[in-house]
Amino acid sequence: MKLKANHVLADYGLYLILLVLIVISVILSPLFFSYNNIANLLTQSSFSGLLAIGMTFVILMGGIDLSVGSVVGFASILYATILHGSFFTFMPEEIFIYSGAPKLTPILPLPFDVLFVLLVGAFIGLISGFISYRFRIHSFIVTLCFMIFIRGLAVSYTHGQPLFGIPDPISFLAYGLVAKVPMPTIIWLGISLLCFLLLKFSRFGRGIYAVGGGEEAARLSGLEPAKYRIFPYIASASLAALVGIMMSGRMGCGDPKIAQGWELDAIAAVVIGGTSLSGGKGSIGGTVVGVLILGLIINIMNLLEIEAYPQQMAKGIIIVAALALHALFSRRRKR
Amino acid sequence: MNQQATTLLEVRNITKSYPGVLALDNVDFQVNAGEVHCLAGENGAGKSTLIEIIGGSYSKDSGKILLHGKEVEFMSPRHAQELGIAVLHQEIPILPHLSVAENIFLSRQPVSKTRFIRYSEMYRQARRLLDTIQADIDPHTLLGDLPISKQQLVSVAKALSLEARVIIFDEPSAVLSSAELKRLFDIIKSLKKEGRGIVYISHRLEEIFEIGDRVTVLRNGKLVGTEAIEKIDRGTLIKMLVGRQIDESAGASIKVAQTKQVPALEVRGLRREGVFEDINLTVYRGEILGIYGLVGSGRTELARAIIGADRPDTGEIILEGEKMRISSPRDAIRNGICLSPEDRKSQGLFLEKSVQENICLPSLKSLRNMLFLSYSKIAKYASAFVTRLRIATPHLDQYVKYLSGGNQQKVVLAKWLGMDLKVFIFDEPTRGIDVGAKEEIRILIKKLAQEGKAIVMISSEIPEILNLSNRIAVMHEGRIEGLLQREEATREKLMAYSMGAKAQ
Repeated sequence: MKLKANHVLADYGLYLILLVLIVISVILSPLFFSYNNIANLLTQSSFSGLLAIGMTFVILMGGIDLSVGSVVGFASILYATILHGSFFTFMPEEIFIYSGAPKLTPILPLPFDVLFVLLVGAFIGLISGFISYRFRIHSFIVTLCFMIFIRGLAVSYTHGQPLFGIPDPISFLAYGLVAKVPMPTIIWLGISLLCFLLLKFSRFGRGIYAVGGGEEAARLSGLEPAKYRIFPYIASASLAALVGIMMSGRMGCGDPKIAQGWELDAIAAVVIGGTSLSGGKGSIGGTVVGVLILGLIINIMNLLEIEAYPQQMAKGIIIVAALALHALFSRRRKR
Repeated sequence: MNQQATTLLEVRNITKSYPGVLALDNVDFQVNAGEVHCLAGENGAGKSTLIEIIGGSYSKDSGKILLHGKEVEFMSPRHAQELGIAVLHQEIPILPHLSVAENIFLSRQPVSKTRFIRYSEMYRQARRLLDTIQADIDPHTLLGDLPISKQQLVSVAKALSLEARVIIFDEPSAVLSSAELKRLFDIIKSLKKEGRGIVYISHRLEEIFEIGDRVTVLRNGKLVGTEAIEKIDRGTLIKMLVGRQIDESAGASIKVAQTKQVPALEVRGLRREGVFEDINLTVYRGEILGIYGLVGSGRTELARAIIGADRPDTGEIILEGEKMRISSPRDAIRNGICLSPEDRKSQGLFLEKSVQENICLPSLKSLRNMLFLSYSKIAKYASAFVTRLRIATPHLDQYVKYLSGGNQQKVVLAKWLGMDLKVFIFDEPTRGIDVGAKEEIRILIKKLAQEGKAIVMISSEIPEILNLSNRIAVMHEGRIEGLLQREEATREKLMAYSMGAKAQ
């Protein structure tokens, strides 16, 4: 009987933690269960949730992607620049002088400009994944360099200035509601579902688990590791680019300095969600729960009007506590 | 002999070199349908290189590979698998976090028309495959949760699912107990009957004579010869393997005097839930206590508990009459107990460190001038052991991973020899090392006992246990099933006790 309880804890401990946090939130603040707050919580979670999906792929495969925050910033400013009719040239300074929305002279019509930025994101992922795979450099280092480089590129692009004037259809991606559900949440959960199916029900997805569990073993089992090693970075950077576009819509401007440190939140969410940092073990479902747990912690502290820096302290402690608890549950199962 | 053998796979004049080493030099090798072809040779003889080439992992420098008489080039492990060659690797066979069924069908999972994996179908097919080899394994289990012996059976099932015509077993016995090995042999025999070609690699002569139809011997990358098993005897094979005559009973001449019975290590009522219980043992000074048992009988876990690597639930460890509190390997070493672990490569050595560093690590405290490490003392200390144990290494800075298994084991030994310890626990000291080195290790162990050290030696090789031990404890399912004096111990008794059949 006792053994059974341990199994339940190991398999569902994560959901239990989420549930406990919800209960605590409800008790602590009457505002928690209002539509506005829940919608806000879900919207906030959606952005880090999208990054965490990409991060799940990378970590499952046994790597890490530190560059996503920078890619968000770069995509945000790149998207705004395209809308202003400029591709690769650095913007002349005059354009920033006046405030308010400048006249847009987009280079590409609407769906294609978004697509272009997503492709640029994918390309960034392809390059970092390829370098890590081909030259056998640990992804920590490769993506650390990309994090620095791309942030530098993004900020140089507009001399550090935000660029205003984002058209409505994009704002809809960030603010829209469908049946009272925030649009970002629909995008987040929709992509989560797709990625869940990919990881669980396709040979390709299982291959990512295999390569993450042991590359040499996977190779000897007849897999060609290259695509499994590189694809996760493409997924991660493309999703980061998507988040960049959505953030532009949300803020009404392209801002090269946003999303600093978001990669760490994404990693934290993935790890809370039970994905092993050494690769080969984990799931998208876990990551969604991990993102919600992290979002809840912030949300309840905001409702309680705790100041930003004490919030950080509390966040650090709670993440470690959640992980320790989770490890305890899973260890019990092993015995 | 009664039928015309068809050659499934043939390699001709294969040569492969690495910088500075000629790993394979003009080697020929064939596998016929319905035969078990043993591949033997000391470590570094080129066996692994040959099977890696056949399995598509490495490319050859020159030579030909013929499959069913047609020349082929294996581009990758996948390509070789598609052409019907399956290699059952000993060291890196598995993906621990995936289920048994997924390991079997990796990248070939049954899918629906919409390319979705059909899990129920996959588990059903896996069940069927496992049934054909009578493996009692749930296909849903994570492979990492299975003991190595069962993982091996999963690999066999995988080979069957690939419809492999040629199946290569890379030293399966190194990780199997004798009962499990017998099962595997039955499976191999039935595979052979189906007309598949089997390549079987092993260090153990008994196995080669038991299962093999032919044997090919490699030495230093060169082909020594291929012989039909029925035409050669043990002596000839050993001579082929090492290139010189070896007296297998060497070391037997060293008599261990066991007159004064001074207990060195006593274990009383040691118990660890679900692993072992009620363990009572005494090891005397100058004695070798052999521990025999099947894989999973708790022998390794017992050794780990004695040195404090795992904590027992109850029980006492008494060293030279004094009760010890050993809660970590560090405590054990301080008190004079050391372990040479079963898994030499990951637990006994730092593969990416030099011979010198490995030997000196536990003794660094005494290799200092005042506060600072003295590299001249360290080098002197290490080179003394290299000479004394005849460790074959080009220099002290050689990484341990480049040494042969036998020399690696000597490095593990050297680590402890300079420390004035009282009790030595050896877990499978000669596993996976070649015939010549085995004898050297055994002689070293005997000499230690002669010097008055207390030795606990865990081994699955019955001849080794019988030859070396003064007394033998046999473990079965976490208990000591019997304690035998050397004189009364026989192969049959050990086997019977280890399977839980306590003879009267």
